[in-house]
Amino acid sequence: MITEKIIRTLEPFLLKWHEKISFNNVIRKTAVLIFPFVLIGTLSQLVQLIFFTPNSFSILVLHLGNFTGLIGNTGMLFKLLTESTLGILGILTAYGTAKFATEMHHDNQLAGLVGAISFLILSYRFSNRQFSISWIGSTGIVVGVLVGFGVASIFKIWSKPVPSKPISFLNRVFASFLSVNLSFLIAIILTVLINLIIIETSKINPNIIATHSHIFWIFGISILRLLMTFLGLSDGGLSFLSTTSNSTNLNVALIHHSLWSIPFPLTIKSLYIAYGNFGSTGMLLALVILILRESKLHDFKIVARWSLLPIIFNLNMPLMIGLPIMFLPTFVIPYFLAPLVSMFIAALAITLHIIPAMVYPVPTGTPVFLQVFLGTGGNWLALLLGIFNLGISALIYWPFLKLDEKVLMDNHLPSGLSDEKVSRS
Amino acid sequence: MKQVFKNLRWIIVSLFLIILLLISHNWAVKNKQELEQQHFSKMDPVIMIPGSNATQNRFDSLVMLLNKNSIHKHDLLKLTVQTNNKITYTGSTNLTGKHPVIVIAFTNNKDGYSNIKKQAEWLRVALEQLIIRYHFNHFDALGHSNGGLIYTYFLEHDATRLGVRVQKFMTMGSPFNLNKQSITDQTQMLADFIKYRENLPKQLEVTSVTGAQNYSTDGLVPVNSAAAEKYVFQEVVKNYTVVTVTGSNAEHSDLPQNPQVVNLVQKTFF
Repeated sequence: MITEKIIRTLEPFLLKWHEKISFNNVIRKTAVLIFPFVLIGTLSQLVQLIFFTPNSFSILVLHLGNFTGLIGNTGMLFKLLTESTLGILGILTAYGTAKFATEMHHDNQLAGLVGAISFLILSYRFSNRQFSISWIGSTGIVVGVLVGFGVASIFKIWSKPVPSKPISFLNRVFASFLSVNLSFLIAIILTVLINLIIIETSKINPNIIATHSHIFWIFGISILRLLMTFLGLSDGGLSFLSTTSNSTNLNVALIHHSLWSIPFPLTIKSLYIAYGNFGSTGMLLALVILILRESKLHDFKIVARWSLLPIIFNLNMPLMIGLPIMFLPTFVIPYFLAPLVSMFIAALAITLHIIPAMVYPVPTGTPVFLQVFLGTGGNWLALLLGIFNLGISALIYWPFLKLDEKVLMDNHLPSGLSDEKVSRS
Repeated sequence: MKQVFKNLRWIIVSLFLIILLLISHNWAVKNKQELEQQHFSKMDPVIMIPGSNATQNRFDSLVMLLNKNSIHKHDLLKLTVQTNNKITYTGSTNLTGKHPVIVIAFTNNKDGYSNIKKQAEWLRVALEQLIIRYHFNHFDALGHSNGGLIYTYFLEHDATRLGVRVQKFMTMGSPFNLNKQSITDQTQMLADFIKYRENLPKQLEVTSVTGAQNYSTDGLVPVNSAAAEKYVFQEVVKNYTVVTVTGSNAEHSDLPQNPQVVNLVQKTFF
């Protein structure tokens, strides 16, 4: 019932979006280009997280791994693999977007490289005279896309088409020489501006966010967090959320041997980490399970299968790039709604003293759905509420998955990663 | 056949999940306990033992005076160990703060070396329970009169086995040579104390408070008997300080309430 209603309401909007075929095509093609690197990087990150991270979940709780000596050092190789794939995702994105957004009759190979180099220029930080690691990596994807489209539009306007039978090699070079220089010039001007802004904003005291424990703050920061992850501006890591109220809670809980008398039961930790992130960022685990069980699209199933394990450890990049979710409007609503509804239910349950708040620290690399279980000292009810929330999230994702499938099939649009047209079979 | 495989897969997955949950639950509970223990090991209680014929309420006025002078009120937990090792707890059983005060008294609070040995054993039983209950790994000791003797016996025989560290030890008018006036005439107890003095913790900081009404007695304990303490502690422990209190309220039983002594206790322990 509701599913059909949602599909009927949203289908026109989505179709309109798909008519902007060039943007979609570029994004999807770029996603295809970088997906293998995302997958390799994420899987090696997973190996590193499970076997080679000191004091991680698998070592402390499951007594797996904890290699020392020669084998322990191989962990470094996985780190290397991650950093040279996921670690340069921003550059790859800039390359892909610039290449695919520049039409064929221009020198799109060169445009791609110019995009990558312009992106590097933008990542330079004057403060420590180095490239910003986080911009070059997966958090730089949104900048990469912007740079790519920027360079592509410069090439479209200022380059001469590549002559089909070049008289000399130099011909090809000088056909785009102006746009290359113009791209670099704009990149340099922008990077000066960006560095100025960064230097100014770094003076602002970041503790303003950390000291608040008001319910609106918690939801506001969670929304901001989800937005940043959706736009690829952050990798969904949870370290930003340690606030003073958490340590106060922990102290009180340890003194009274109880989780019920803590001073701040509602915190970002007890709501967002515990329940809003129970199925990874945006409760994407619900979507993965849904796709594995219900989806008719072969591509979706393949991506979901590869994403399942990383998603359990809160590594969401394969799904974000593979489906893709990032930048495309299909899953925006459930991506925000599912965690917020879960958090709301949890806030009610905590306020009514049905479940305790998550207070105890949890080892790194704990599967997302076990965080609240460990963080409440093994409270079964808290775990059940999380699973209940996961179910609710699946229900929230359900109509949107149907909608996406319908739009793709009805219009014979390319789905996910493959360029093959989907047809009703 | 395919259906069988599919079912088998689900069974394996759910078995794996259940085992994972059980292991996680185990760890979570253990982790919580460890965290609580670590937290409580910051606690450094001051454990006091009254002298002979005194009850668990012996130090009430001392703690009251201490609390009067300080911003942080010290919790007061009082234990009485019965002759059958049963222990009754009164006062604040939920200890908070860095330096709560615990008083350990004995139903059999009679004088005499044989009783002191028994009381030292009851002290060990009580400390064992306290450590399990409150997870501290070090404490400071204060013994009034015979309480100091009980502590000395405990420190020489049981302290290391218990796995706790006594950091500071204060005696108040403890008759180390019982009621003997002369130092050359050693009691069996003093001889034993000196014999086993090498067992005393090397890092112990000892303060001896002696009252004096005149040159020879504090009204009950001969000054020379209290001074015999130096043969036990001096040159074995980290440091040994002797304080003699005179003037009004320097009588043996007044020592724990004497303003100078209260001040000294405050400075030494809190």
